[in-house]
Amino acid sequence: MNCDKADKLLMDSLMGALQPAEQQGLEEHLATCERCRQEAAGMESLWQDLGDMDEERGAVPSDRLTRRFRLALADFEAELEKTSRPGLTEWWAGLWAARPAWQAAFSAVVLIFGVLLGAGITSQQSSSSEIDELKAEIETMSQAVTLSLLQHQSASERLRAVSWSRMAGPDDRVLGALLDSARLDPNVNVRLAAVDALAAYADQAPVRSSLIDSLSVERSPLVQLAVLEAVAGDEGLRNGELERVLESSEIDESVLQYFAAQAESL
Amino acid sequence: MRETIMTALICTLLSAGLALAQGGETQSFVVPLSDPSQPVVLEASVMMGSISVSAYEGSEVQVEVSFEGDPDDDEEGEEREGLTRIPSHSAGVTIEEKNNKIEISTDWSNEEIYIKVKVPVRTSVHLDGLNGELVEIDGVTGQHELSHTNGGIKAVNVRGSVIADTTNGDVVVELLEIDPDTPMSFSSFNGDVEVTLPASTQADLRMKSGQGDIYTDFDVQLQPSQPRVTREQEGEGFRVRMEKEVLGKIGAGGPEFRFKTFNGDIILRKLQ
Repeated sequence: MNCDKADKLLMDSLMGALQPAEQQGLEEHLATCERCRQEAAGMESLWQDLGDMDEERGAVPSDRLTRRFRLALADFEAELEKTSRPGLTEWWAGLWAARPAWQAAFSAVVLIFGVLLGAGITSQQSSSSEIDELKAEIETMSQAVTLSLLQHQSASERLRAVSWSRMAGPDDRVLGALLDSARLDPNVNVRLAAVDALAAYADQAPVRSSLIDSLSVERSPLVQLAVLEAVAGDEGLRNGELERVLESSEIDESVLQYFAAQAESL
Repeated sequence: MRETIMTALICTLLSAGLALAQGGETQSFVVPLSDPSQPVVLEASVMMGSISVSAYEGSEVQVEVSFEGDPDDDEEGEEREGLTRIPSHSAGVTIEEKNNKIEISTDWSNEEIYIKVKVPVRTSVHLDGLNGELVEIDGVTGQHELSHTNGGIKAVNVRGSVIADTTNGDVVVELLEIDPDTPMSFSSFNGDVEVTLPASTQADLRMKSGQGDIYTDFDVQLQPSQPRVTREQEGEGFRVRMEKEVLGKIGAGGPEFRFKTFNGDIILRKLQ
């Protein structure tokens, strides 16, 4: 067992949710690793404090559970953060973080470049940049239209919006709207189409997470199956995801069986 | 016609509470439309029972509600010595009309409610059934949305577009004419999806059947399905899995028609 794995198992160990083999593996690792021992000690003491705090104040047992749950959730989300691939926007934001000298220099360069470009354009009337602008405008417009169509009264129009979204490209807002449709659209066929469209982005952690969450409220076995197929993909479910899936007691028996059979054959 | 400001016509709330001495009983209602010259939208949902909508040459909406069931084989009644139980049924049905949109809904009850509606030909029908025999429509022209959880869906002689889904039941749809450029979708978990379309239809098809087969007499130009390539998390190399979705075109292609089943076949027929 390495430190990474031990780290992930710590929270579950505190909650008593580990298999005996895993618990033993964890303890063996802790015996040899100073850093993880400290980490575990810290977590355990926090866990205890959360428990004690309530007893002191005479709180109801459910408060303690909620606080500990929040701690577990925060830990889970921290794990999510670590394993999610940094998206384009984060990478871009990272570039701009606190480097005033570089930023000033960059701005100056852009300004000079812009002036030169402007001079160049006005003297030449190059048509290809106009075409690029047009293209960009069309793409923004089609994203805007897609977003508003996803809310249309008629299920046909919402279906149309989902198939457009495939062509609109992986814009964050469109992805978010698709996730909402997959979860909330009143029509089964529209939800199905949205999940299928999202399958292409299922390697992104927030997309996976939202899809798995939707399993706990999704009643249609067809959509449940589509979600499982989208999320399981080729590598199967990631760490911790299977538990979350099984916790969703809404999943139809035959879907679970089919899914288990498919997973084995990979 | 002269333009009038449409006043919201919230029609009478009709509640049918019936005390019956024997057998089922039928009640009929006529719902006038705000504007008989305009198309109608009919929305109806039933928890237990059936809904059947058919077109006729009139310009009002006629609703017939009946409660089936022989009260004599009602097992729930207690025996009280010296007394005879008078069977009774009661359930509420609500019918509202506003600007040519008609909404029919039923209360929670363990009675089976059968609703038969006669509508003008240009009516878009949105039906939602939970447990029942059938959700069916006949002869209507519009954009139809049909959903039935435990039961089948049947749409015959219809025009326009249909989006239909069932969980346990077959989906049988026959479209005589389809709206141009309008996407459609048909799906069933435990049931077949059988759709008949005009022979001149041009569309893009996406068909996927979990454990069933796909049949058609259309001339479908199949497109190679896109393999999904993903990288494994730990370790090297790619794993490719071919999705079992069939992509194709009929005619020169057109709007997207989706078909999805799990335990059931997909059958796409040409209208004869």
